[in-house]
Amino acid sequence: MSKEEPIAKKPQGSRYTLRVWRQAGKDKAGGLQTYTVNGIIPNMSFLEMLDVLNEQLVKEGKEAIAFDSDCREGICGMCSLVIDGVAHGPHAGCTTCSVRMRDFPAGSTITIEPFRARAFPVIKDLVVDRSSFDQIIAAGGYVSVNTGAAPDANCIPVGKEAADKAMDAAACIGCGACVAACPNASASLFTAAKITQLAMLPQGQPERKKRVVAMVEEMDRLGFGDCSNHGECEAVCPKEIGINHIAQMRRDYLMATLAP
Amino acid sequence: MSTTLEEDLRAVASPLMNSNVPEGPLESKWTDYKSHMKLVNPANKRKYTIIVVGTGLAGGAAAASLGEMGYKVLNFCIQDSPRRAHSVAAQGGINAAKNYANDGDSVYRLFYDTIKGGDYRAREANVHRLAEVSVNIIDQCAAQGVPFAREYGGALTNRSFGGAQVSRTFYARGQTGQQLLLGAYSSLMRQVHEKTVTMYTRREMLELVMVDGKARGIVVRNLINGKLETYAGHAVLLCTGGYGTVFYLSTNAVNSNPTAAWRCHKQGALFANPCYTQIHPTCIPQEGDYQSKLTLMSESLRNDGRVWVPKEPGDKRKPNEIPDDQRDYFLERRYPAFGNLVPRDIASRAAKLECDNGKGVGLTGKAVYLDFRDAIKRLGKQTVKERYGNLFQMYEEITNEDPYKVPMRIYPASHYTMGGLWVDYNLMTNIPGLFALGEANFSDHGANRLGASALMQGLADGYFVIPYTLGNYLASSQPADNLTTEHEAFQAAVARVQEMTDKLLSIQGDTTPTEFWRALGKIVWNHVGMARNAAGLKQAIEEIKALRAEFWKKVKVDGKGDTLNKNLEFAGRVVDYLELAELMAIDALHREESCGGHFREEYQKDGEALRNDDKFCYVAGWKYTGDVSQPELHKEPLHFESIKLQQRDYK
Amino acid sequence: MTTFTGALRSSLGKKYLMGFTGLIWVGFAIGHLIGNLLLLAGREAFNGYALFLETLGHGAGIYVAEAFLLMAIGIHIWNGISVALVDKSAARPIGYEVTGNAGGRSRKGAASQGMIWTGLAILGFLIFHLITFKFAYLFGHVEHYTLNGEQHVDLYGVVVERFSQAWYVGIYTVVMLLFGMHLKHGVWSAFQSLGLLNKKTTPLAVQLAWVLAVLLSIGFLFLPVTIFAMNESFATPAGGLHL
Ligand SMILES: Cc1cc2nc3c(=O)[nH]c(=O)nc-3n(C[C@H](O)[C@H](O)[C@H](O)COP(=O)(O)OP(=O)(O)OC[C@H]3O[C@@H](n4cnc5c(N)ncnc54)[C@H](O)[C@@H]3O)c2cc1C
Ligand code: HEM
Ligand code: SF4
Ligand code: FES
Repeated sequence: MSKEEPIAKKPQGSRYTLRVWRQAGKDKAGGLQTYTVNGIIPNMSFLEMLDVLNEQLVKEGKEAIAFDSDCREGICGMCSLVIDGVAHGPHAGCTTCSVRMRDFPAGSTITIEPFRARAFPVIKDLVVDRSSFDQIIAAGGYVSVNTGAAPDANCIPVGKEAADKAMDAAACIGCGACVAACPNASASLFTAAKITQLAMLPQGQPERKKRVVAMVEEMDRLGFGDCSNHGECEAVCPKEIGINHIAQMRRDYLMATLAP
Repeated sequence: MSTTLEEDLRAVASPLMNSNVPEGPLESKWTDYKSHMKLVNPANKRKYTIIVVGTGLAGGAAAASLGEMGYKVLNFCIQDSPRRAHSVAAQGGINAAKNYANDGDSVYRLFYDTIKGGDYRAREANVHRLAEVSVNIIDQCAAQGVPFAREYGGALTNRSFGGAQVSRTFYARGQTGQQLLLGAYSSLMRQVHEKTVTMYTRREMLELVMVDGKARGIVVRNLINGKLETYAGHAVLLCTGGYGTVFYLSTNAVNSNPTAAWRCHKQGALFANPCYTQIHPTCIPQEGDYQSKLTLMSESLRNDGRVWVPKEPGDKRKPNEIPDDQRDYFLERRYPAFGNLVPRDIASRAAKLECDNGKGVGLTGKAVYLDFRDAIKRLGKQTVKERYGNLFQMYEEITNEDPYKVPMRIYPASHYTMGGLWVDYNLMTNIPGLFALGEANFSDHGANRLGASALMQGLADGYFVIPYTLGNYLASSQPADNLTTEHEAFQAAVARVQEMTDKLLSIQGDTTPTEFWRALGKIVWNHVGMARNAAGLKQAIEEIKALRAEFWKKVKVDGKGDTLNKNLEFAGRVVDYLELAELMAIDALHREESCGGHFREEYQKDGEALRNDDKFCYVAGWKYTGDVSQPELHKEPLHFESIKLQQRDYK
Repeated sequence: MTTFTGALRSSLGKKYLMGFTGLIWVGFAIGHLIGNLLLLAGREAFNGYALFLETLGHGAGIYVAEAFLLMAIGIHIWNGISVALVDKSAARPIGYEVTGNAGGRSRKGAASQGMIWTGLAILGFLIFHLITFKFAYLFGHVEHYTLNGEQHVDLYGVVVERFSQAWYVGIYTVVMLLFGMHLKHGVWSAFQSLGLLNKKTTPLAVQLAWVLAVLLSIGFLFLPVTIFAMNESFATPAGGLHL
């Protein structure tokens, strides 16, 4: 394979200093470590920059930095990272995998930390365990309909406006940035998005009250914090889900507990 | 392999490949079959443990449905949550023969379009069933609260897609795959709550365990702590997606991989039609070597954009400085009738040819221009913006270039794989108890998949086929015994995995797995990509073999086996890529015809694919023989009863 | 299913209580400010107003109102500490090395993050405030006046005397600015906490919060500063502001 020529001559990229959180395992102590990475071109994505660093580390006989990613196009919600104190980095409406290096001045120092919350324990380096989100959904984030039991799809009309509102909420990718960014580590935006999606649709009505109570209780039980309306979640949310969904959740919860 | 090639290629049904298509007229096969199937008594269902690997549309739908029915389901995925399976990335939509648009659609028409789109290389009975259940899928998803696009009156709305003459594609903004997956995921989570399904995330299946010739369990690596875990069950459902990442550069997610399917193949499952791969023409091109994931952009851009390259190879001027008479609008030149709107495969091949001739543009020389200058002149910027605004924005976000001012750069990339594990009508592989669903199987798309039909197939398999056919299998041939992982077959499978892990960690060479993957991708792309020929394929086979040998000498895997170690995960997948790639080339070499995504340069008429129905109207199922380079070819002849075979024609 | 009272202990319930009690106190603050403006009208008017409050409902009114306010602030403080100190640190035991602000639509800032500290400052001030005015007679000599044969505290005198002291006015000023901060986030936040807002009304509520924050903090500041600056006018027997 030495015959293989690179498809492009290595562009003269920039150099960055990275301070990266390293932690060997769940209950191990961790800390920031400093690395430098060269040859970074402006259109590289942030994660590609980390790929380059990792290849470099492996070649130097050092252990690569563990971080999560999958689709690398902003839809799966697998990537995370708090970049210079902001979840998903500096570009609004973007996941970390969609952030490009041109957003960082060449030669600058970038601090990279994992999403932090009690309910998101660090597994290794920048990888955290977000299974608590699945548990919130399992508590009630669904319509109880068995396969095969559905009526014709057009039997239940759904107004365009309601469908659009439901879709706004359903766009959530479950990345957890809202939790990471929240000064209280609250999961309200995530939970509210699912509750609102189903609350907007006729299909969601029969279980509406039961659902909101169950999901809110589960969210609390898992140790997420309370929502103090900082709105930082909305600002970092890659899908720009609004905190109006949280108000909707609060209305629904109030109604559900006042008139069960 | 040479012996099999020299055989008479006329299809002789292999006993290993009994399609088990039920008797009766095509239209009522499935209904009749369902009403005569053996059933598992409800009280017995919970005595059966079903292993479902994968949580995409196929796996998620299957696990949820089987859980609802009362089976004990164990569900596995690589990601940290089932909601992240790669199905999430599909944008366009999902087909269904609802005929809500009242434009003459029907089950038969969807069936016909799919067979024809697949270039007559799919099994009629399966495709007909797919078209039949497509209508139930939409009902099911709507009931789950999937926010499909609606008309003001509240009814579902459709768009047209992929050249079909009817509007049958349902969608949820540009996030259809995500919404369908979240529907399946929520049903799945409901079953997790009901405790019928146990979820195992961050697990990678590395071995299939067979007992008495049947699939009875799996070995997975716990990706958090590196432990090898074993799970026993009464059937194993593989819903692990496609193998498009063999190309290194693809539109697939970085964790998409063929490992599970490949390891089953090595336990005896036939791999069908591995050479049928789909290349998508309009992807945002690669910027540099470091990149493996390419972003797909809607093909609709070709409605108004003009594709060109400079006439002079190596012309380094900025695109807007190149006058019209020095540009080559090669699609318009070569296909005056269809122009920029030629089908996916033709557009892809033409672009590659120009780049191979040194006329490619951009930093890497692997791109062609898609220019909206004339469209903006003709229609005005506003209209162009209305039509493509979000795509232009996405392009600009990635490349930092404004497509209103500078032509876009596009390049084809690997997108979907039609080939996969061979399955019969019941979606069971030739290994009893091993089923394959979704993109992991080879079944419904023949040699080419139509847009918006992969989502349909995944959900059809998971919601509406496997719940029946699995019961039939269990009731007729698999008693609810209590085999445990104590059985020696599990120890043996673990030992196989452990051996490979130890070997990978012990080599400590100087080349990372990614570097090998990248090198392999280039070979596959150049010779087993959009256009193939015998010489190139033979060369590819030799190069792949050499690369594989080099891998086992020089690979460097860092870290340890007992922690989260992405490098080790990737190394294991690269091992499989290096083997599967060779099979793809062998299959492509043996199939001396052009059909769908498989284009052999020797078999064409004026650039049009030339099928050879006399010799190759069969499914090629490859059996592992212990030597990757010597697979055994088995054939399932394809019979077309309802549809007449025709040559695809774009003139 | 959870009862309403049970629900009040949930994370959402805490915020219903915070919001509700916060708004009660905002209401009180508005009333209190309007009443206090009578200081401008002079000794008799202000003392009359104080007396009116004291004798409301045969003297029971004020106790009921005070008990109600006390309960409200008790709930507010209890939940405030729970939300902003206890739950917060439990939910993120290990903090970030670097914290940033995403900007854009974020409403995170000194006001929103300082609620507990501005709140505690208000609490401290309230105690101090009650000591210096309401319970002033317990801590030292205060002037009285006689009306219909009964002795009453000359509250006007107490206030003007306090507001003639620079350090007192200084503390008052600082706290009122903190109070303004508390309200700048608190008022719209309370509506949001009660689930009353949507996309359209949120900007209105935010504007309302600004208006109330400015009016109340400037309003409350206006009195001590004016009294301090124009002490001669206020310290006369008739009192009030003579221009
Ligand atoms: C960018 C893009 C756009 C597309 N757009 C469309 C479209 O508009 N319409 C359409 O019809 N189709 C589209 N497709 C195709 C379609 O999305 C896929 O074919 C389909 O979703 C595959 O579903 P699946 O369930 O088979 O597999 P996937 O969704 O890929 O799921 C695979 C699952 O298997 C798991 N897995 C894999 N290997 C292992 C292992 N070894 N151990 C454990 N778990 C494993 C993964 O974790 C995952 O859960 C698109 C594809 C791409 C890439
Ligand atoms: C006159 C006195 C006070 C008024 C008018 C007032 C008003 C408010 C209002 C309207 C809110 C918004 C509630 C919500 O978001 O739901 C609030 C929040 C808050 N208040 Fe007060 N408050 C006062 C005193 C106090 C005191 C004494 C404390 C001391 C602990 C305090 C601590 C807090 C805290 C911590 C919050 C934020 C709660 C959160 O983070 O969600 N406040 N206040
Ligand atoms: S609400 Fe937004 S930030 Fe939170 S999980 Fe969903 S997409 Fe991520
Ligand atoms: S990797 Fe999928 S959203 Fe970033």
